[in-house]
Amino acid sequence: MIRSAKPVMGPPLPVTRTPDGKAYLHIWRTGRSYAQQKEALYRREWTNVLFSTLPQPPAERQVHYHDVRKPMPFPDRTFDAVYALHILEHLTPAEAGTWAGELFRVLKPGGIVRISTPDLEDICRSYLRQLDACRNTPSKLNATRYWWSVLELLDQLVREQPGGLMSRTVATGDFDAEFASIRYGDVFDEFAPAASRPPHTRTPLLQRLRGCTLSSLIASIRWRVIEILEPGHAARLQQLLIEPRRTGELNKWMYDALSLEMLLESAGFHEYHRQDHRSSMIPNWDRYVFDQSTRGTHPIEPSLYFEATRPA
Amino acid sequence: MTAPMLARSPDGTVNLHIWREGQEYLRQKGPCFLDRWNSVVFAAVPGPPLANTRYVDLSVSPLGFPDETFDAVYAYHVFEHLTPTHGQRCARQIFRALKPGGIWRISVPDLETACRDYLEALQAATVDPSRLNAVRYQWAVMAIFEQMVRDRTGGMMLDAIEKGAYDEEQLRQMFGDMLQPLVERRSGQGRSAHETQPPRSSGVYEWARSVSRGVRRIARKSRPHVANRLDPRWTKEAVQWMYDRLSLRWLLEESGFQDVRQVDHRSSGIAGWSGYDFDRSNKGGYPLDPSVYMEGRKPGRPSRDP
Repeated sequence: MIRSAKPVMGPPLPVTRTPDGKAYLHIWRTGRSYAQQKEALYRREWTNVLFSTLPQPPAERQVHYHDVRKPMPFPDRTFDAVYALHILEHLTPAEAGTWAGELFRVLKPGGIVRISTPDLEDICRSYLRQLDACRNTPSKLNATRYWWSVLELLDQLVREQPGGLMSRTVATGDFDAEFASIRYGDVFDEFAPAASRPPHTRTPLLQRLRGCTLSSLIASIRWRVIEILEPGHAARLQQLLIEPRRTGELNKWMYDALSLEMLLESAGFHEYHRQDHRSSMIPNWDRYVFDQSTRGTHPIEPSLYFEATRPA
Repeated sequence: MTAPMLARSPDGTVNLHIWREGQEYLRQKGPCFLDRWNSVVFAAVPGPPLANTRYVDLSVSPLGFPDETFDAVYAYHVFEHLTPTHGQRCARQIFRALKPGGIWRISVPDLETACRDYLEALQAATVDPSRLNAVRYQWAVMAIFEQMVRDRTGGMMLDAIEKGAYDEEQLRQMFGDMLQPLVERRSGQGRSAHETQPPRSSGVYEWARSVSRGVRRIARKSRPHVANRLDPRWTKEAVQWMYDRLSLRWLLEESGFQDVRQVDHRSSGIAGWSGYDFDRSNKGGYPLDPSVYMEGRKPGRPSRDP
């Protein structure tokens, strides 16, 4: 039912191939530390789609901005594998069902889908552990760890400002960096207090021009014109650009191994396997290991990793 | 500011009841609190007039009573609909509105219970993937956060009830009587004789529903800001935060309350509580809306009647 949904898609995007001739699709949303560590690799060898709910950023080389709630801009049976990194939790269950069907469609028979998402089960267990610890031994340390676990479970579901209560908690210093790094891996570095972060730096002009296409040039000129003619409208648009519900920063659902299996099963996949941050059925995964930190063997962002196959 | 006319309980105490909505709650407990307690209903817009009731949007407006007005305040399932920041502000206002020695009782859904139930249901559905276990598992997940993420009234819980995908025993355990009106509406049992709701002609009702659906569909397209009024965040239906016995205790202690203790649905330090019994189902001894219940006392010696 989902699979036969008529794809109303724009012109298909170009597909990048790996050295051994495979077509791999990489879908993600954000992640500074992730990009720093893995960008060179996935840009070179994978086809890249960045989930963006707003038609804002001009297309960069090798990265296509696409709203994954719309049909994937690729023909049927294009890819040997798809890796969707922390996308699923930003979709409503209904959107997720359609999207899983789209992944099925663009995969070749026998192709593998890999999905990573925060693990609801693990987060709940951690929360209950910290709650018990804090009740048995009330200490400042336990209190901060307990509060962090509550934030981990709830904050991204309800926040109204980018960063939400979590970044406010980091700003006040009421957190335990050790615990937070265990829970969040390298991603926790992105929470470092804003003060210690370098101010927003502009990309050098030459580099910006190099990544420039005609359409991005037109978009940028149009934006400048709107800013001048209708400053109120521009400000409203700016507000929309950061509102978590619009930008897709908000989590719209959370999954565990069971619900992920149900989702993939209803999209037609089979042979589910729970993986860890190093293991995968995707051929040549050792070359990519997108989920393992380059600083050690730990995951960049501890998650639930799950794979399934499109039946041959 | 003119002194507002406040309702007094038979024992002479002046009490405030803060709540949000819930037809089942009003039906069961309305007769007992409307004339004896003062009510603040947390709502974005005023609803139908009720005795001794004000409608206040607590996320933007203050509670609006002079300091040291009440002997007791009961906030029933309101704080989970406020962001933590607004919740803290509201807790301080309740503290101010209480007389010294006055008691604040608060109830909210329990995050801890929701998580424990979820892990249990996950385990059961993994070991034995029967349809019943799958349904119970899905409801256990929804109990944690569905009300936070829903983008239309009723959300996926209502969908599940309309599809018949629920286990009545579990619903009663998780939500007490609160979802019973929805379940009854679906199963078409109608209302039993002692309930006062007038029977509605289903033909007219269905017709009105389809008209309202049509209007909504047009409104959503042509006037997005009007349609936003149906957004659960705007109507305050959406849950904005969840508490457990620890974070609730912190909330009370940080706003200045003393002797903070967890109570159950039958017990309270509020004078004459058994006469009100807000939290027990009229149909039995079980909780009307299972929650975590917490009480604290404003420091100071209660001054006896002037």
